[in-house]
Amino acid sequence: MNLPLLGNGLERPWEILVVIDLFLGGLGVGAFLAAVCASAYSKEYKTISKIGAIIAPLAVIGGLISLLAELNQPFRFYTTYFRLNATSVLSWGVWIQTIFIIIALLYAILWIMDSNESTRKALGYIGSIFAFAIAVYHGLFLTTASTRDLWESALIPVIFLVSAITTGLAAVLLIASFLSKSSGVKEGISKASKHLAAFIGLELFLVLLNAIVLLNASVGARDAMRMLVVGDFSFMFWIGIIIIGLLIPFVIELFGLYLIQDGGVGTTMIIPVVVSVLVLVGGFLLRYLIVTAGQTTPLL
Amino acid sequence: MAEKRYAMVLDLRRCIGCHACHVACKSENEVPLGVFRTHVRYYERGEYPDTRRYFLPNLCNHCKHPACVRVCPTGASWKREDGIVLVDYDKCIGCKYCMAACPYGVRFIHPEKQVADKCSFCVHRVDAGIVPSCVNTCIGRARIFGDMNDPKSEVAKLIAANPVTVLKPEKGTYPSVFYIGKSVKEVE
Repeated sequence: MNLPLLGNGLERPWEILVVIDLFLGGLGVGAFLAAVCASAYSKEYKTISKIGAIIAPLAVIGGLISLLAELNQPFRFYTTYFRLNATSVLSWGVWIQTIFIIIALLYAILWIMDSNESTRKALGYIGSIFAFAIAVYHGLFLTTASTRDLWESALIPVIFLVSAITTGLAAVLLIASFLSKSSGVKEGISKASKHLAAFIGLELFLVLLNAIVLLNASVGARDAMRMLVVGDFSFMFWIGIIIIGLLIPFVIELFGLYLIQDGGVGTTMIIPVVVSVLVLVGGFLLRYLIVTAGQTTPLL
Repeated sequence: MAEKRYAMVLDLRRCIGCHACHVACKSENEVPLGVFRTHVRYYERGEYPDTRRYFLPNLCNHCKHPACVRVCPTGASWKREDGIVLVDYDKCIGCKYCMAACPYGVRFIHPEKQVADKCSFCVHRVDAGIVPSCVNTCIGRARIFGDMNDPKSEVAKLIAANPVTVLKPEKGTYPSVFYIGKSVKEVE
């Protein structure tokens, strides 16, 4: 029997704190994008936008705190602002996230104060570019490490982007469901639910596509993906992510939308709440799985 | 005059798994308990009664295109002109990106210094003109060290005269640690 072939001392350098950073960061930028889209649609969805605008900086700051807790030398964090490495995605990411947090905070403040609409809109559009970049960066820094087979897929950054949108939207909807008495919120929830359903469907498609692609790729990629599909991580993958995190909320959302028809959401907010919770759980598990299983590659 | 490129050749036909290299390195570099700059892995091949056990010494490969250097956000992981890859302890923030990026799992977080660390090819010895500690102590003379760009060096001659392989060549890191007698795939 061969002795374990994994790494040295710490077999998986990245553990739960990195997952929390990715989850909160993705959620935050997704909420920001949701807020900008909602306000671009109509003034009616003011409350939805406000919720998204407030969640965004709080979540991303929460993610950064988790990241700092993960560093072995957190007090040196500020050096990353001037010690740059053009080939390191992490190096870019620090600046992009900082600029985004500043924009998101201003955006949130302008929403709360309900003033300077044109400045707010401009901030929204500029911030959206950074939000998009951050969501992609979450996946890209894994892919460009390029020595862990599970991450060697061009779909990984795309999956992180779509997952950021679904978890962000889900977080906004979850909170909005509790404020459904306010004007415009019910319509906003109904509209956002349609979008959420579409993005959940897209995420499901991308995750399954990624699995199929890697299962037919190089030996390392195949072995890595087999861990998820039939191996040690298969329970979390199939039950936690595919069924609970994506398939069930997708089906519920479609069924709910069918019941809702146009506009009226009925008296119950159960559907958005349940769907949101499932999507958030699934989004967290997806990141946990990709980060953890990705580091479980044989090293020889 | 070509630039230096320090390399190591591991002749697995001679390795007996005594771990002297492992211990010498620990002692020379004061490596704390629980982490290793170099160690020896074991493999068994075949089914009983035709089984054999093989030994594979492992250390930082000081790659020509190191993934760790590419991903380090602060440049704490850097490569010297002569090919030795080092960690600048003052710059490292402990993000562990290098550890996730290294395909060989040879990096670790130093428990006391709380920064990334790894085999340094005993750079303090090499700069003084002597070979790394593991090479010095190997009783089977399975470890050979030198400048592979110098055609008169023992490593260059061994690389030229023997079929050598490296670990995970498909990762594009171009390691500077070459193995003689390693089969293509160690794992089932």
